[in-house]
Amino acid sequence: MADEKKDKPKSKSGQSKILTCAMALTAVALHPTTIILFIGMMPTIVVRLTDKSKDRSRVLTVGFMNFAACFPIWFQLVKGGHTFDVALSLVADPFNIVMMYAGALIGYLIEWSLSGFIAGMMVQRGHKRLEAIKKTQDEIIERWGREVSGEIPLDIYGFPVEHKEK
Amino acid sequence: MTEDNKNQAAGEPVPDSKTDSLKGKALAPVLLKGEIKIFPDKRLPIYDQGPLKAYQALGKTGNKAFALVCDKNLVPQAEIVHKYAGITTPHLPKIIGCGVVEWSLDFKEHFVFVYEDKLGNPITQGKNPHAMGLKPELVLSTIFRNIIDVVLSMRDKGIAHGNIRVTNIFDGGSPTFENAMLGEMLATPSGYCQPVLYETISRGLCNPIGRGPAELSDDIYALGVTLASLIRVSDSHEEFSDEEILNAKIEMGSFNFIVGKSRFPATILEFLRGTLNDDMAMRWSFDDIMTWMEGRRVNAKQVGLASTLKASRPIDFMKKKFLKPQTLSIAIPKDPSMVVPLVENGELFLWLNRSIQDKELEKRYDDALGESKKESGSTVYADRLACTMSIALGPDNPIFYKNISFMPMGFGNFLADTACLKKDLGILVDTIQMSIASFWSKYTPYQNLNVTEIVNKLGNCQRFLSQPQIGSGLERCIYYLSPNAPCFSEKLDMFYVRSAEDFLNSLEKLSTSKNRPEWFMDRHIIAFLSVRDKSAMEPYIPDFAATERHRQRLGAVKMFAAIQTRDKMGDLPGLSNWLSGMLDPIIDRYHDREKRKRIKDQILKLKDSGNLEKIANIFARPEEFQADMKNYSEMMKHFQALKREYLNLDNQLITNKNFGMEAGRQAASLVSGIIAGIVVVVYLLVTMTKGSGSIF
Repeated sequence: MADEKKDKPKSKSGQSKILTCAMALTAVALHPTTIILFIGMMPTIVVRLTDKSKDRSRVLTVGFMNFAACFPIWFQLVKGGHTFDVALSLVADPFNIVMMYAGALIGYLIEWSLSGFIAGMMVQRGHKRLEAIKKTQDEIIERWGREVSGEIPLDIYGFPVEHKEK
Repeated sequence: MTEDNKNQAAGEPVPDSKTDSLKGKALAPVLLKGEIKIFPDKRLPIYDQGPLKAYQALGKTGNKAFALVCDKNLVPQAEIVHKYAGITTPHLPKIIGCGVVEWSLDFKEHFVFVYEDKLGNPITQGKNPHAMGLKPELVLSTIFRNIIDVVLSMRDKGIAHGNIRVTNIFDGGSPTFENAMLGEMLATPSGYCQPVLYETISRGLCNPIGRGPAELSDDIYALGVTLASLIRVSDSHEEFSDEEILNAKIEMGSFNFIVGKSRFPATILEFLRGTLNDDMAMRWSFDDIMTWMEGRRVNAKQVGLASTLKASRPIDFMKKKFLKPQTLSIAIPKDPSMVVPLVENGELFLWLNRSIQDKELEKRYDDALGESKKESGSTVYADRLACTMSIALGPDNPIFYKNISFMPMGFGNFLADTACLKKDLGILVDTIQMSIASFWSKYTPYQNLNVTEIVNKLGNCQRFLSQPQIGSGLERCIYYLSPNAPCFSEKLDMFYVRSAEDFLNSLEKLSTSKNRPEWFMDRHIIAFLSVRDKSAMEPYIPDFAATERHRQRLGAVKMFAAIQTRDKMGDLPGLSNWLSGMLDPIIDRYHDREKRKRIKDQILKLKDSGNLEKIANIFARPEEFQADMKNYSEMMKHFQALKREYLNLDNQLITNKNFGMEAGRQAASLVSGIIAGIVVVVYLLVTMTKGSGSIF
């Protein structure tokens, strides 16, 4: 068992090395696409490096929109023969750069507005849940007595120790 | 002669003094079993039995009758009523009913015996009961013949009268005594009303309540005294106290004492010699009497004293000289402190050894000494020594302990009387704990099954006394030893409770009383029911012994319901109402308040129904308690889970400024992904449909 545990990181590390190599080879092989995406997805790369959240959901939000904006440029590259020159001409066009970066900006705006809105909703829901818990507890106490809360000393049958029998 | 006395003499009822306060108002007759009328304002003092008063009554057919109203402390002989009722002789009052009535003079329940009133007047009317001076021929052909008929009938039924005396003989309505009748004997403990003169020495020495059931030989002895009193013309001992009579009987022998200087025909003397023999073994049997009545000669039996032992020189005790061990045995318990030096300095032993020289007596002395030494050093040593020495010196005598004397067979009634009158029971408890009856039984000449039975019973009582828990103890001893005693609980002071059914009926009556007790049971009631109705009480003793009220009350509900159903009793609405108000501790054993409410509603509907079984059935399903407990513990867990959730959420809301942001970002990424997907798909579709070119 211990050996298996020790083997796992090694194999994972091995897999990522292979993947990295494969990606590097692919990037070299498809270098016009690599140029477009590298320059076009620069905002996403920056967010990825600066985002400290656990699930990195901001990277996804910005990345999706950034990619959607890069996609037409990349499509032109493919249509233009997918050559290095065409790639350079496309990234040299300021309009294309603005468009790709605007996509990232829209992604960022979505992230900013939606997460704030939903967080507010969640707080509201939390307060309502607190009220519901309180109400349920009151109902339980009303039906089963104060002793059900466990806040007072009980005998072995679950009745309050200070319970005075009539 | 006053008017009352004239009425009394004529056997007419006289007003009861208790009714003075009710002058001018006729008291309504008290009904026994709904059909026999008893008139509380019409006394018949001539039929009184000791402290028990007689009243005029009417049978169900309107026939003349009289009723004897029993006192609670004097346990009547109800166990032999069926035998008495089976006696067909016309010379004994016929019983026409007995039972418990609510007596209107003291508003308490009393046990009463109702007899046909054909007794007439007492034969002693206007005459000296100690020496009536009747002609022997008349006595033998009338009174004596009739009494013999009664004794014979009772012997055939296996019972003794125990109340044969001149003052309990009636003329039966005929001045010639042709129809002479013997009075009743059921209403009082056997021998309780009997004067010492009519009792054998051993029974005469007892406290009247402790004499125990009379036997045929006691009746024969009383018959001898009765015959002598009827015939003799004078009684030189008329003014004797009880003590003097007993001393004289011991010193002279009963025959010599009773006959004295009176003159009797030879045949009568023969009868008296036979029946007044103080040695029970030598006393005439009933067959001897029949032989004598037939005019045949009865085998000669010597007149003997209960103890013929006599010392050659007297011993001094309490400044008196004693020659007979038997008389000394009676004197010793009167001053136990003097017995200790008498025994410990060897004076008593020397007297026995040198002046009497009876090996059996000396052995009894040694045994008594050994028995007493068990209590050596204790505060009761002197009393115990006096008691055991008394038994050793006079084994014919009853047990003397401190200021009481009794036959073990009469101990139950003694205990019942003492308990009912709330006298000190300590002395009686001592006698049980010290096994005095067991020691007495080793040497008594009255060896029979009754003695063995009572000794065994007293042994069991030692066990009861050592168990202090409810249902045992001294209270149990009372009801165990006195099988006819009613319940002496203070709660039932107004009632005469003889059975579990009576108990429930009493509670039914008590239920409407303002002074009803807070709780139904006490030690007396539990002990009483444990003995009288073991099957009804035994299963619930642990509940009644418990300290938790809900257990006590659940036990009461179940027991009452079981008795009501078993005895097919009618509805008891008062009791069911009373009981219903006491069930909260049981209901409160359910945790579920809704369940409690439902049960309360059920009880509310049933409380006036009088059906205790239906009320008991509400609590008859233990699985409901279990289910309630299970649900309750689940609710406790649920409550705790909610509590944890609340604390956690509340804490998050207060401390986490980014509360919900994570979820917001995830939602944003999802929305972003969807929009991006749509943009790509739309772009591709537009591009494909145009065929070529840029959309930008």
